[in-house]
Amino acid sequence: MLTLQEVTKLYQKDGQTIRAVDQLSWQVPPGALAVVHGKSGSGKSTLLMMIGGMLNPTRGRITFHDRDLYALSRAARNRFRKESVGFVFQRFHLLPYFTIAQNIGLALAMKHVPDGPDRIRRLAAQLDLTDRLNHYPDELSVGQQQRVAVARALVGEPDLVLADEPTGNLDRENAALILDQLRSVAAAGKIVIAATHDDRLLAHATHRLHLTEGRGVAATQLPSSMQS
Amino acid sequence: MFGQIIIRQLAHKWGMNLLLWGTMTAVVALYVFVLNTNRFTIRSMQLIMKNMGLNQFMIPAAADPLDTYWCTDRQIEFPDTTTREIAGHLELLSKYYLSMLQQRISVGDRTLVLTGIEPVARPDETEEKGNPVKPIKRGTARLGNAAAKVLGAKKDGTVTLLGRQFTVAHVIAEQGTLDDYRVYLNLADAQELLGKPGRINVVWSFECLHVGGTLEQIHQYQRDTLARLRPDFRQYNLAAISQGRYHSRTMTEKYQYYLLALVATLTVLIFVITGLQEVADRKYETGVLLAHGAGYAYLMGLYLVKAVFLSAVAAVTGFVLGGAASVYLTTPILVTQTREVTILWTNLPPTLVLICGVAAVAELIPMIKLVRLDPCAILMEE
Repeated sequence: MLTLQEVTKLYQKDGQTIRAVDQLSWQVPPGALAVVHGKSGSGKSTLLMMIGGMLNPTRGRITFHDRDLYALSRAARNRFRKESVGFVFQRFHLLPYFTIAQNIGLALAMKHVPDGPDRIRRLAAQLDLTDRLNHYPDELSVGQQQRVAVARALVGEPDLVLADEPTGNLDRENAALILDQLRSVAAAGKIVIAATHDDRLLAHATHRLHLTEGRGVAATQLPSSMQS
Repeated sequence: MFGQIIIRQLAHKWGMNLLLWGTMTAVVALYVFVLNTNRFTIRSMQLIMKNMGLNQFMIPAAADPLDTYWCTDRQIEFPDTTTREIAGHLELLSKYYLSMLQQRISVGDRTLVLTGIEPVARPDETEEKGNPVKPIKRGTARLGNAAAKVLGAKKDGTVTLLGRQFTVAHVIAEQGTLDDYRVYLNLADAQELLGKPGRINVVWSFECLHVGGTLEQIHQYQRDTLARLRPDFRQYNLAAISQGRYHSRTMTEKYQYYLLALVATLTVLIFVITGLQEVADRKYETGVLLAHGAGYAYLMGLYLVKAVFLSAVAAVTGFVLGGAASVYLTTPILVTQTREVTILWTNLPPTLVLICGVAAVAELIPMIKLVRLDPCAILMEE
């Protein structure tokens, strides 16, 4: 279970205090495909970073499976990210000097997982990247790069997947491919949280959080695919 | 993964890394070139200055040095065993001792200086440089240029001195000094000829500068030491030769220190500038690795290991190039007789430690920038 209690994040900019996230409370159970949506600058990415243990909240608590993330030491929080979190970044941030196989395998290499190559090949096949494994990121289209970024986040089988606009640069067919992956991860009992504007993703969300200037309105819904 | 990232990074930015390696190699090569050249230049200058002649003499404290300069009959004589006894005091800075018995003699209406000499080695003296004054075989004479003319003698000819015949082993080129009028003999021959067995009237030597400090401090140390060991003797320095040698040594050493500071500064600048640029260039990688659970120690390790690796490779290549250049360029001009001008491999480990150490320290400045990066700002950047 992921729990946010009265989480606030304040920034100082040009002498002004900006409330990126304001007193947000939210619960996301295992198996959820949760979507955070709202206008640009509403605090979606900031929220994902805080949930991922990358950004200290100014106030409030974030717990994951009853562990208060920001009560952990820095080393323990690094370990939490290594073992439990998979990030998909909006700009992908693939390492340019690694092949696609090496980029996908980054999380496995950091965790010293022994069956890395098999997992990489399997996931690459599911995301239609098999014939690109020995290429470098700059040899791929934007859509392919995004699928690599998703594969890199999922290959370590993390308990928590945080995806920032995971379908933002994809056509319908490729977006469906990603969506299927995220849904199957959630179906396996993991938590998937995606920040998105994409209605296709919103339609399949089990949990939704609408952010307006850092304030959230949460809702639980049956995905449209499950509605009669 | 750690090593793989470093290797891939090196290959990915090969142009920049090649430039960094090349620059560092050039800096190290320059340093090693000057280090080696200085070493052999000091040795060369030592030999040149030594060949100018011995630069100090010792006479009894009661003696007047003017009598020594003018070779008068008032010179005070003392046992020739004194030289060996003084040479045994290793705390004295003198080397290459020479026992001398000098006395004016008349040849027709001309005056020459009969000079018996015998080199005396210190117990720790090596064969490396050798005494600048070579011993004279008994029964032979070495003639100053003017003395040879007065005696009408040539090399391999014979001369008669105080009724005894000697073979002329060598005629010295004109010096423009009193030495042109000297007739050098083996000390024992001179003592017999003058009827003064076992006696000398001056001890010559060469003042060594290894104790360090200013020339005046070196002289003072030598005076004090001699006063303690042999209070009945005094020493006099030939200032021009001492100063020439001192200045040549000081100049090369200071040049070396200056260059060392320059090399250290350049190494710091090169690594700080390229390191800061690299941290900026690799900020996304930093963010991604942090998101995958890497700590700052891991990230800093990536930069430091790479910097130390590049600087180590540059130190070795620079050392070889600089050493080879010093051998190739200076061998034809340096005056070294006993030690070959060669690459000084014993300097490789300290050079390696120096360059890698400076590079690692310099890399700490970009590391400050690295830990101050905001990974969230980088990763959320649109």
